[in-house]
Amino acid sequence: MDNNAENRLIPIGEAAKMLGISIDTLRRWDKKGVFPAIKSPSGHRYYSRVKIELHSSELYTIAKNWMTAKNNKPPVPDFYCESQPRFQSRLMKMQTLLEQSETALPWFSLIILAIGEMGNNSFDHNIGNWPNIPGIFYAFDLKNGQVVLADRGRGVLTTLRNARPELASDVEALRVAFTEYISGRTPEKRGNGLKSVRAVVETAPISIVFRSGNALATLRHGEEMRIEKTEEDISGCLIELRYK
Amino acid sequence: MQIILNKFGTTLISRQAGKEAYAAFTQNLKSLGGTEPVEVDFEGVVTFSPSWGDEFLGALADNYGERLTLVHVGSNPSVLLTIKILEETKKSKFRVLL
Repeated sequence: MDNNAENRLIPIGEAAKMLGISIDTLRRWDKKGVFPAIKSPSGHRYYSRVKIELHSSELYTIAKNWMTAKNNKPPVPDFYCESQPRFQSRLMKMQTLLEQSETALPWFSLIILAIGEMGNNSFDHNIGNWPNIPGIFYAFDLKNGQVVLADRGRGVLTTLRNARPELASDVEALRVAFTEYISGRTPEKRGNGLKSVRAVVETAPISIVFRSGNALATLRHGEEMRIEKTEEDISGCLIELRYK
Repeated sequence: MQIILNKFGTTLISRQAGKEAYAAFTQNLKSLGGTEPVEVDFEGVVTFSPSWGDEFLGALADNYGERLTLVHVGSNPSVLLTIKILEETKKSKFRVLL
């Protein structure tokens, strides 16, 4: 087997960690030909580093395809958190992997904070009101420092109109969500989820792309937040966080 | 009275969990003396979020504001940022011992 740096083959356990999925899923994908492994003479599965990187860069596309699909199927089980406890459990797993990483970032807790706030927002704001599929898509790729979250919920505008009926557009709703302490769960007075996420980006080298409806917010460390209107209109929220 | 946060877990994130933690601790708070100080100890906390903090520390601040002190806050970025955010939303400062 070729083991030079560029073409190094990665054992199944390491590949599973990089993709944030289980070894069993990789075995299943291999058997079905979805993501074939390279087998050693002794039968162990290995993966090409390049292919894993290509696969993981597709996380955003996988999430977007799920959000925009006409059917009402949930995402693949490894990326699906149907409930808040499941999300919490997978978030803690990611936290442990970040904490134990050889190149652990001193501010890794801010990554977990931001993901926790955004993921829990999806649950808190859609409980009992999911239009079709309850729960969220949550996938991470530690090698490339990428996290993708998505939900097929009601979106930020509908949620915030509970507290601000005068909000007229998705762009306006995202601006309010990222700049004001407001709760979409009126009469509850507190609310700080997305503004906290913005504070995280101001504190650490993290960038976030947040889409809801036809609005797109781009938050980059050291830059002004940008919110713009997009051609495409998506139901729910689609988020990509990068920290490398 | 000392409240050791890591007894509630080391990843303190969701609003719901913060609310439940405060509700569960209410029984202990009943034994609090009239002027007894309340210390919240952050030792061992790995991630602390504004949502959890709002439900737990926010409720403590509302009920025991002047008697409340945060101790062993240390240098954890999520703890420091969350305290700052909560101070902004409450428009008042916590008494903090690093």
